[in-house]
Amino acid sequence: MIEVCHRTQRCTLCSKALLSCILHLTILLFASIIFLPADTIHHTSALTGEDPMQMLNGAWALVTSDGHNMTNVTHMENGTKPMMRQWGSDDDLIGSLVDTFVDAVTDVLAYVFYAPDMNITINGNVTVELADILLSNGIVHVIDSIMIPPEKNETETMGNSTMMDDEETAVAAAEAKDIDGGMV
Amino acid sequence: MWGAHLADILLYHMTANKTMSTDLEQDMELFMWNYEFANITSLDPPMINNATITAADLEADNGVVHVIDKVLLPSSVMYTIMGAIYDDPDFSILVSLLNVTGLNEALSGPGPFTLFAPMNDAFAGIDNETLTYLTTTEEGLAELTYILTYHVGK
Repeated sequence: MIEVCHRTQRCTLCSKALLSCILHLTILLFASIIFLPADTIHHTSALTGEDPMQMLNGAWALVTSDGHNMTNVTHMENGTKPMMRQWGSDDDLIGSLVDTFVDAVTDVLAYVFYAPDMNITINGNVTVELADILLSNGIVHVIDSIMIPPEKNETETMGNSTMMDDEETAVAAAEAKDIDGGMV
Repeated sequence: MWGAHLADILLYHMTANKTMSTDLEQDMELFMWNYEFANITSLDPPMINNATITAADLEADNGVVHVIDKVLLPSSVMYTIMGAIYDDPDFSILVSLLNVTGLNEALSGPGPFTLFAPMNDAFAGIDNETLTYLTTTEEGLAELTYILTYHVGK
């Protein structure tokens, strides 16, 4: 179920986002059965720990409030290193893709949309800027700040670790910890 | 996880629009359905990436099929996590920290891993003194390893 919502968000890239969201939702219900990921891989939707229906609502909100940014696409040039930060926004291309895939290989296409506008945050202060870059030994999510682990001797888990006001605070806290550690 | 790779590989063999062999040009870039480009590397014989087109222009009512002699491999198959970020200027700090802690070897290994990769900007708030401590002292390296491994899921 989590996977279904995950791909529903990805499909927001399409220029006909609203329509294809409905299509995807239907199709991906089946795709998710076939392609459920191993537990060892954390897809973005699993990170948020949100209720699937809330995730879905988020996706719909994204569609209606920010329609145009959804044509951002991750380009990876063949024969070169993947260009993680290179964006393109070719409306015609996306349009033709959408037209074609609606009645073609829809059940697998959901994997190929890399959505930079998903607004996923971890621990309240780290934003996932680019999600689900698929590579031969795993997945990369690009984040905008360092994640600070809880102290080793604390019982806190990742999920409920202290929320930082912002990135600077988090980094400052990390430094403080580091320096303290060094003094001791 | 491997289902996603299979989908990515299959999609790397498909492209929108009907492209006949006569439409092919040298060094042409075809935008495949997995959002990567494939290149026409030769016209005689016709080749896409390193695969030779052995039978061209098999027309169907919804498109055209060209037969090739190799599977086309997208970057999701060609590169490991470490290989992907290694030369990327946006991740140079992360790469150097992974190198100094030896975690680069793990991330080149079989996995599967999930890496949360902080871009260089993410390290902007750390001053040189802290960086030196983290990368040169024994305690610092232990701290650094602890922080970095917090970015890797297995």
